[in-house]
Amino acid sequence: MTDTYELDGITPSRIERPDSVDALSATLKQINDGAQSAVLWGGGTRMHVGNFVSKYDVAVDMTGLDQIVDYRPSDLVVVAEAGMTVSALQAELGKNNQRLPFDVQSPDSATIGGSLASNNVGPLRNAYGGIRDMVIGMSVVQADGTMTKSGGSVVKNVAGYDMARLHIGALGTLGAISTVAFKIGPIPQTMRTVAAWFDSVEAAAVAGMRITNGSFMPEAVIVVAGARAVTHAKELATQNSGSASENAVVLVIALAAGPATVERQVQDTTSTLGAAMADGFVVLDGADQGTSWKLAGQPGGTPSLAIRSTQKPTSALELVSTLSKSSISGDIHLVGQVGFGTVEAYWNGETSAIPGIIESARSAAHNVGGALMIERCPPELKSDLDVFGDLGAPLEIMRRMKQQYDPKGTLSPGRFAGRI
Amino acid sequence: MSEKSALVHDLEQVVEPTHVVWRPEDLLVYEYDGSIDRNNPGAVVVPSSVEQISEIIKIARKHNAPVVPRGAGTGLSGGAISMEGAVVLALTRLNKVLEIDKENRVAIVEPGVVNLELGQAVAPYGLQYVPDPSSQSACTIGGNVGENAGGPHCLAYGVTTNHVLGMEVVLADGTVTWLGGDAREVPGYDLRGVFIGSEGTLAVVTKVAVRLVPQPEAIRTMVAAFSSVEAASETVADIVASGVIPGAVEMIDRLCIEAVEPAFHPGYPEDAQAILLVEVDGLRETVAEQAELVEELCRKHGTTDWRTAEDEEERETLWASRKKALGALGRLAPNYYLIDGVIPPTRLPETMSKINALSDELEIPIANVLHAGDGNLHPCILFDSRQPEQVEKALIAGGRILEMCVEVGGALSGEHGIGLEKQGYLPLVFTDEDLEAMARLKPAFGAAGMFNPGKIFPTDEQREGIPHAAIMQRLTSDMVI
Ligand SMILES: Cc1cc2nc3c(=O)[nH]c(=O)nc-3n(C[C@H](O)[C@H](O)[C@H](O)COP(=O)(O)OP(=O)(O)OC[C@H]3O[C@@H](n4cnc5c(N)ncnc54)[C@H](O)[C@@H]3O)c2cc1C
Repeated sequence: MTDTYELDGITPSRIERPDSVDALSATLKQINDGAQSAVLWGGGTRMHVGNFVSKYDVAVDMTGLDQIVDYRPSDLVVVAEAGMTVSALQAELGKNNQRLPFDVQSPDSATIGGSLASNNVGPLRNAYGGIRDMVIGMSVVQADGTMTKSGGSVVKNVAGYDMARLHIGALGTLGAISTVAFKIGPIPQTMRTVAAWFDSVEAAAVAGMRITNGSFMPEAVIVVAGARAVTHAKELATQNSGSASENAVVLVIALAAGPATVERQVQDTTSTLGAAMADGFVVLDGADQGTSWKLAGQPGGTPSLAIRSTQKPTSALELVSTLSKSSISGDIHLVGQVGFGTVEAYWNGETSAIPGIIESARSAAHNVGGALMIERCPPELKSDLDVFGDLGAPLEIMRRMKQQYDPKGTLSPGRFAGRI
Repeated sequence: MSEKSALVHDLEQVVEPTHVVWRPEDLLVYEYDGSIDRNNPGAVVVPSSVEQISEIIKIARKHNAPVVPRGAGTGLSGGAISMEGAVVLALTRLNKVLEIDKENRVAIVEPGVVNLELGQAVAPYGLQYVPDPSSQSACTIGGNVGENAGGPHCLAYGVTTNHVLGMEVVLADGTVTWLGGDAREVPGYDLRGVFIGSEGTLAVVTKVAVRLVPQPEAIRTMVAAFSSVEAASETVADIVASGVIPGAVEMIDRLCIEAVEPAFHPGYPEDAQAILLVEVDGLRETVAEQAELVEELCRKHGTTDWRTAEDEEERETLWASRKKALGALGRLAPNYYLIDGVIPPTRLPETMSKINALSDELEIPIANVLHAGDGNLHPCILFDSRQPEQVEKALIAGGRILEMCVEVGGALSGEHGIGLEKQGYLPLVFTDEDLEAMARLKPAFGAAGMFNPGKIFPTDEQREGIPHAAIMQRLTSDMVI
């Protein structure tokens, strides 16, 4: 049982699965008092993110906290416990034709808390910002068991510091997110996907930038390069009696709004694609849209290396271009979120080649002003490298944060930037 | 009469003496901000560069003097007022737009840039900066970051924190660093996010990277009159519940109408008890779709007069009548105390009725302007500061309104911040543990005791006593607002 909670080769000696916020508080207090250390587990889909945990006694499984605390559809607000899965929450909201405009990989197992803590964000953030922009309140159990909250359950609130921000992306190193209040929205009346293919990253990039800087903000715009993109482009081309090149790069655009608006968005988008000399494009409707969006995520199976770099949109496209031309291009899957400026790259291959790849990816990101994080790599490499990269002067503030909120190093010690 | 202190002497080594204010009569100008509080600063220094700011902070530290960053001083909760003899660091000379990157839709600006001027600077590129506080012709981007400011158009597009990518700050030891950057996110703890809205208590902002968005293709501004505030409130609740979020949904009530009609001549019907100002923007098709729905809901709730702005001039008149409504209140009473509270939109009808009942009960007029779509109330309590019993009533009314907000699950401030004004009310919502966790941010930023002392956190007395008693003490009968 404990091996389910193995992390980077370490197995905890004990598992706790609290089923209420009070129980969570008692559990953490006991661990903290006993000078032990704990790793918080949501659905376990993003445990590979972060540095090596230096001490790991107890796995605290958060999935027992899986209730909706308050749901007021007419106020567009929901408050849910952090261990609830993203799918379960979306299903509840869907009953009222509402949603959290937020997409993650593996929503059936990913929990709300884990998605927040690991800043797990899909392409929808182009239009809606990251998940952090939907959080309006949060309760956190601190390392010593103290229960705290900030924000509230109304959409606008500046009373006190915006503490929730600190825990989003913190990988559970500053406290355990216990409940979260979100601002939600309606499921759009009409949704379409436009998928286009090009014979170079540059051509796709020009079109992608024109579309994001156009007359409206698409829900999502991604550029995808690599073998999977080529295969997908060929499939689309065949279905539409067209052709796609051996270097095909795919641009996928999500459109969502009222019917008349979407019709216009489709028109604008396809005329931009025409002008930008796409090799071909299709407008997808209904369930057909899903296939193209699968490209946004990591490939099936577990890649040996996953990196994520964020920079300005034009720099992101430059980075996609550089990486797609590098020596590793054959086995790589590259996703650029055009408007947001995030580039994700997944690679499969020999462990021995990875340090070299990391080195060149880091320097490519550095050259375009990007900040690169290694999201996944073989555990044996983690001892020699800080997966967060060099964060500069703010790292000192981050160290003091850890000192303030988890002075005994109870929560995933070593896992955060600078091995905090 | 007064002597230059050693601190002032040192400050004059860094900044030209004309930009160091220390004579008591000169300091008077810096006693105020837009709130009803006031207090005398120890000194005021007006630097022109980040290097000077870093030096000033080191000097202040050497003299154990805390520092208060100040933008335009339009804040409504006392954020820029100096307590404990703190040195006011006025950022008004750092007022340049440094860079506009059209393709990536980012601008880098200095903190003293006025909100409206940023809008004007980026307009030729077809871009806009969304957060538009009603005070935008005066307030600064640094102050907006300080308060996490909102504005009418934040309903659909989010407040300051959703539009600021990062900022360069000077920390308490004089170090200059960026929190966040010019991209949408950076690895590590979200120091940018936790900093925005920290009311000048953690560091001094010296540059801001803001996110810009394209100007919409079409805009439609609509006005609906109602014969009761409740009907207007129900309309707003229905608009929100429909999930179609217009660019802005603002409301003003009868008293405000009386103040703005003679000032701006928006032409509201004489018998209107409440006016909704709704704006939708985006593609022409989006505007048509949303406008149709809004009109339908207004008609469902019995709007007595429905009108769409014919041209840009009429649109500007309508917006002036809303954004400058506070100024126009001067026609009705010498002073107003503006309350900023938030409630869930579905609770608008009952809460607005309760505020009216409170006004009757205390026999004190309350004019209402609201960022209605997000439930952000701005009741303006009208009073005459020369009448101590009116001052007391205004404070009591303010407290009661905040309690009403909390009772229905709302918040103590939607955009103006806590500052000095609402410290005493924080325990209505937050436990000692919640506040303690917040307070630890100061040492984490290395800022303990250094920036804007006496703000946000309730004092020991306030934790016990009635919040308004403390304010009452600070106010004197000759105050001018
Ligand atoms: C008529 C009127 C209408 C208003 N309407 C709105 C509205 O619609 N929405 C809204 O949100 N607010 C509104 N306000 C309130 C006010 O204008 C905002 O809070 C604004 O953001 C304050 O900006 P400022 O430059 O005046 O800041 P100041 O009042 O000078 O300072 C505000 C706070 O920010 C801190 N600060 C300022 N500059 C810096 C810096 N460079 N670094 C660190 N901290 C800094 C200060 O210490 C202080 O705590 C209104 C005010 C008035 C008078």
